[in-house]
Formats: sequence, structure tokens, C-alpha cells
Amino acid sequence: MKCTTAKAYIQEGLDGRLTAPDEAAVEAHLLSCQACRRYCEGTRQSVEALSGLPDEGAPLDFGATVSFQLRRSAGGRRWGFPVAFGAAIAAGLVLLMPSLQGGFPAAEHPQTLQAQL
Amino acid sequence: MPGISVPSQVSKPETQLVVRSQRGDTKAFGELVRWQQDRVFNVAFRMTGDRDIAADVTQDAFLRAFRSLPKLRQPERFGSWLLRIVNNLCLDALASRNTVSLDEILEDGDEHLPVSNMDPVDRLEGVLSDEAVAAALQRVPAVYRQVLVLRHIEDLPYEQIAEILDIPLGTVKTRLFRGRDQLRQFLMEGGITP
Repeated sequence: MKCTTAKAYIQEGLDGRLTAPDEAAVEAHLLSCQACRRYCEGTRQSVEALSGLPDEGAPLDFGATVSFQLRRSAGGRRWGFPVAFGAAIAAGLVLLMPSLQGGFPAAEHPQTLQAQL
Repeated sequence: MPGISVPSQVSKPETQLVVRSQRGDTKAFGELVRWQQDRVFNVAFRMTGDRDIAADVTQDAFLRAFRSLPKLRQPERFGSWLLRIVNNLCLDALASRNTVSLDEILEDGDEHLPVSNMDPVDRLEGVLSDEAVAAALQRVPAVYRQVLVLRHIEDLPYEQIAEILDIPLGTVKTRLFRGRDQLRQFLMEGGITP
């Protein structure tokens, strides 16, 4: 077995994805190859060390912070429509007021302005 | 809610929480946050190596998830979907921290980090300190680090990693093997592994 093949098998073996015959072939290669033995041991140690890193938990106030942001986000969505609707009604009333009082002043009407010119 | 496919039978309690959240139940989503927050934070921390950035990424991930939840067609895949959001946000955070492009972040590790900050006595005894391993991990390019974190810290199978990162299974294996190689080399440079 070539060293490149052995290294690929060693990697597969770390994930338990090596068949029994391939495992036996790698073990036979390792008996005669010091470089691959070192590679195997180094990779195994690295993986074990990585897997053994302690879990880091979120900050203590994390849940409260996200809940606040969520409430704000949900609140914005809930009130978005009524507020926009109310603003539209108010704007409509403002625009309608002059009409109710007899229409826009004649000088502000484009056609009247053109006639004046 | 239109456009949402809600399964008729949901077995896992967390899936029920996802379905309730999709219907706009913020209390249910709050429970999802509590259930997943430590896991998400841990992934973000191991990806970025910075607690403050990890906290920002985690918070952003949950807010984005809440907003996009109606688009999630398979509630039982919430965990993978959330981790995909987290991974993307981590890459964005790393790119903005280093003011480099996403491609550079994916291909380059943090070369400014020390090879080893291991206690000399521990090094002589061949003991791997968590700090030395965490520092070596940050030197591994992000494209490999992602897979290392998901495989060896989250203990996820190849198939789920492929789903989260949206890459073929063969690419997961290639990146994992290269990532392990690089991690071993960085630890070896520090005289930590044989």
C-alpha cells in the first residue's frame, strides 16, 4: 500500500468508515512505515483534542436580549398595518378638506394658471 | 399562513415548536431560542474565535431565522437550516472583521495567531491545552474550519454537513481531510502533536 492511500484510509478510519479488510491493510502498512504511524497518531490526537474542546454557552442575558428584539420585531409587524392605514386616512382627510370647503383656490389649478398666461 | 407546508404529523417536540413559530407564536420561538442558543453560540464561537462576535452572530441568526421561518418548508430540518444561517453569518463577520473578501476568508486562515500559546511544561508532557487547540483551529482556513467544527464539535454526519453547507458529500470529505491535515500541521509546528 502506498502512503497516500494509507493516509486516506487513516482519515476514513477516524470516522469509522473503513471496511475490515481495508483496516487490516492499513494496520499492516503502519507496522512497516514510521512516517504514516506518526501521521496517524498526530491526526488522531488532533481530532480528539478538537472534539474535547469545552462547549461555550451563550451569554447569560442572551435569551432576554433576543426576546426583546423579537417582541420589537413582532410588534412592528403587528402595528405596521393600522399605523399606515391611519396615516393614509389622515392624509386623505387633509387633501379632502379644501374640496369640502369649495375646492382648491383657482390660482393653484394648472388649467386656470395656463388660461391666466 | 400561505405557502407553508405543515406536516400532518409532527413527532418531535422541537418540530412542534417550529410549526407554532411559523404560525407567528413568538413564545414558541422563544423556547426554540432557549433550546438552541448554546449550540448556535458554540458553533459561532469556534468559527470566529471571538465571544463578542459570536454573540452578535447568534443574535442575528435567530432574528433572521424568525423573519425567514415562513419560508422553511420542512420544519423537522430547522436545526440544519439554522446552522446554515449561522455559518453564512460567521463568514460575513470574519470578512468584515478582516476587511477582506469572502473568498479570501474561505481560503486563508488567521496567520497572525500564534502557532502555540501552550504552557511549556504541558508541551513537554505532550498535553494538548484547549487554548492551543482553539488557536490552531483559527489558523485553519474557514472553508475547512466550517467542516471541522460541524464534524468534530457538533458531531454531525457527513450527510448533514453537506446539507448545511450545500455542498456535495465528496466535497465534505475532501475539506474534512484537508482541514484535519492543516490542524495537525499547526499543532505539530507548535510541537504539540507528533
